[in-house]
Amino acid sequence: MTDRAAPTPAERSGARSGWLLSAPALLLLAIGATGPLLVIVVYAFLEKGSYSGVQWAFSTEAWFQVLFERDIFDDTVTLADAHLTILWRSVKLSLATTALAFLLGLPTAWFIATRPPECRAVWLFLVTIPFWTNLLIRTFAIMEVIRNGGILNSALMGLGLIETPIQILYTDAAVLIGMVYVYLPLMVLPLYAAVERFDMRLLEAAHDLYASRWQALRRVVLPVIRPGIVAGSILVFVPSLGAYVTPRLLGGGKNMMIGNFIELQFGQGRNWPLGAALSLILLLVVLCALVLLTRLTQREAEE
Amino acid sequence: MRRFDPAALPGFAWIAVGALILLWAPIATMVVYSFNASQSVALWGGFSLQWYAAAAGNAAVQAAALRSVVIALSAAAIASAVAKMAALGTTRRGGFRGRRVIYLVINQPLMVPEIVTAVALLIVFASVKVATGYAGLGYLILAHSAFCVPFAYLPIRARLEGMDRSLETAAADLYATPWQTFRHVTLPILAPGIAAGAMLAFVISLDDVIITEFVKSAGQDTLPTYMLGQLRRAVTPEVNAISTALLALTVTLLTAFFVLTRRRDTKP
Amino acid sequence: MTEPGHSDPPAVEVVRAGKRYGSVDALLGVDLTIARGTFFTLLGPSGCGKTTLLRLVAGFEAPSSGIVRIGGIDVTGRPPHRRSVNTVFQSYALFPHLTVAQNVAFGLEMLGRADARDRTREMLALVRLDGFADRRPAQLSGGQQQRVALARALAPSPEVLLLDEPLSALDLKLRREMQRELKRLQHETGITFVFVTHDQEEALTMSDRIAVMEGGRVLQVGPPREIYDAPATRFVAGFIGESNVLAGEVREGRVHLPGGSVPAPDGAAGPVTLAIRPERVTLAASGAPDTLAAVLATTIYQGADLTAHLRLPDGTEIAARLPADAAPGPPGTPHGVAFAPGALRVLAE
Repeated sequence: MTDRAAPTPAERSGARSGWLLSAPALLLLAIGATGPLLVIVVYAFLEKGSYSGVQWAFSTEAWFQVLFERDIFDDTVTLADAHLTILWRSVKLSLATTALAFLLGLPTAWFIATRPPECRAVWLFLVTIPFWTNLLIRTFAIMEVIRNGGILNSALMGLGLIETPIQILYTDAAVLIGMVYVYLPLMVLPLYAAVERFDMRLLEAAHDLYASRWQALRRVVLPVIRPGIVAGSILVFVPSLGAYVTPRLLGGGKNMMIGNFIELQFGQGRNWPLGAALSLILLLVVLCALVLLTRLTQREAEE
Repeated sequence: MRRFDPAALPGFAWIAVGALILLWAPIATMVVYSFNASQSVALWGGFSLQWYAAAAGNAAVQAAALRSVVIALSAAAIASAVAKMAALGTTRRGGFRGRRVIYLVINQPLMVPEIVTAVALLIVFASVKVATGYAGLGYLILAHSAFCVPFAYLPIRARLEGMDRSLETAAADLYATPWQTFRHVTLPILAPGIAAGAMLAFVISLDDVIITEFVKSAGQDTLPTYMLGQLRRAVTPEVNAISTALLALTVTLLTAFFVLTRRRDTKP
Repeated sequence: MTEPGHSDPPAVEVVRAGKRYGSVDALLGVDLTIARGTFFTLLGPSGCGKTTLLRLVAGFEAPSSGIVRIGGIDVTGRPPHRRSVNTVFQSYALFPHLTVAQNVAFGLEMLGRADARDRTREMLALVRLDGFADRRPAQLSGGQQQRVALARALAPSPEVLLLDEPLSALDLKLRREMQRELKRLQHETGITFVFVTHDQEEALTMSDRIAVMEGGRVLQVGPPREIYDAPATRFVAGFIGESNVLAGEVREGRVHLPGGSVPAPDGAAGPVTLAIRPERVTLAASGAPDTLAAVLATTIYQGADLTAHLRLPDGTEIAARLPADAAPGPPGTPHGVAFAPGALRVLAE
């Protein structure tokens, strides 16, 4: 009973009041979130100020600096290895975090979804509580576990497996462990939603048609719950890529990710245009990932 | 003989239990050590509440806690007020051109990495601070309200979409004016969604680190940024105590919320 | 269609009402008059416009053209909350956040009626839900929810009660029970009921008058017996009960059909389409006068009776409902097909 043709007066007034009712929210977001993002675009094309801030002159220097270094004395240009390493580490760690979170998250979601219905809420609650717990607190908690004098090393030494503490804290491994720990609930929750809707009779049908457990999982379960996998991957990958607190506390000063590197440009680095350019690059990568992953589910839906 | 259970995938239960232990062990450790009498964060020196007393008596912690609550309450109130209107505007009026744009703007804080929004706000608010001379809590409240909007909006919208349209038709049929229909039917049915949204917004605001860290003026620490500052120097058991207290608050709020919504839905 | 000499205006009058949704016509100039105190049914397949017509009367939709009068007063532009009409919704639409009593009292409170409490108690007694006042809708069975919806709609004593397929969600046994209940309530309250259904049996058993609708038009209005015995069109004949439809030609007072000729119904001339119910078809000896020559194709035993399908020389099949103990023989047995006098109806195309 919908009208595909020209909008009727009722629909026009619906659109008008729709915009009107949304106006306060849009205004708030325009001032407090979206508008400032546009300012970043402008800043990425300005010259850096002598102390901090910017000078109002057009420049593409910031973009040049993302990839290259200019020697202060003889103006020779070299590839900015440090920058590229940080970018590459960010992408690598985020992908690894997403993959590990999936490997842990799918069994967890499956386990919860196959519990008796009255128990599921309790199990789900056990995943939800860490999810709503302060990110800083959780990072701090895992830091306590993996540091040299922490529980993990004490336990390993107590068992006689190692003689001296292993240095985990302030390595890439620490950042990876921390991010998996922090973002795991974001993978479990959408996967659970997908698995819970999964019709277990499909598995019986697959076994009836001679599929092994592994084949049934790969050929039936995974394709059917793909929207959940995609949603979980987005929810883990996007915040991992922009992570700031976790790499800062667990990676120390050296093992930076792009989020920390951006912060550095606004702090000690005093290079706001470079910080703005890096922010835009991060935003662009995130948007590409979002578009790519949503395409994946949409194609599924159209098939 | 055991029945063949196709849903029981071998090893899955073990990984699941392992993942849940991974999720809870660090938190449990932190909670236990917050009651440690010893100065050390590794050795157990007996049960004590001294770190809670230390934290509670610390003027900086008191100020930060108060500031956190003021900001979170303001942000939750503002975000849920604008989100309620936006949800009513975008859900009930059929599809109209531009509705997708509204969705996109409202959900934008969920998609843009927080660090990017944080530096963007730093740039803008730095100029505004210089231009106006105002350096109060308003910037933090504004920024928190903005990123809380999607958290307040989504539960209300879900509730509206799940609502049977014929209920409003029935109210009109029973002589309720449009305003009475909204007041006596729509609003009471939306109430759990509005409460859920406001509560999520409160928790999200209370937990925020990154945007607060970039937007705050000197001397405007909230609890999370205060803790971040402490962690930068040395890990103290006092931070354990503050974290545990915050954790307890979050768990209490969420438990209350789950219990309330379950009772409403299953035993109306 | 009110009785002449009656000065009261009819409960509902719909005059040339049309409704377009975009480029789709849901109603095409419908005229309908519903007398006070009747149980009136709008019958038709889904998409025939019956629900749209109901929503025009309730005021949930405005007609694209035409007029709606309730109790003689033009209400075409009035919103639903200013019409003395209440609806029992297909989904019941009970307010989940209110108790049973609060649901029933809702309309009374909106009208500011001082007797809301007493009236609510009275209505709950009427639908036999006395002990359920403080329950929530979700704690009731489907049949009980249906009764609450009825009590809620009847409480403000509307001039007209509209029922939008209210029994479609119930199982067969409960449906039968609610059909009787609805008849009782209509009788006791004397309120005009306008009932929408696609179930012809339900329409025939419950209604004082039926309007059969199809494609946004009203095809025929009349009492159930008239609709059943004298369907006006091929659609009505096919939709209500079972019908054999035959094409023939009237010459010299006889209608010529495949396999023979029989006396023509009054007033028929030239090429005609005829309808006859299977229970008005009988079998006679092959070659008997005023019968059609046919051979038995199949017989289907139905417990209470037996349906024989007979094939006419041109291949047309004709169904005859026979007593359960009839023995028409094996397939291929020749028979004469006879029609009960006056049972053959001429259809308008």
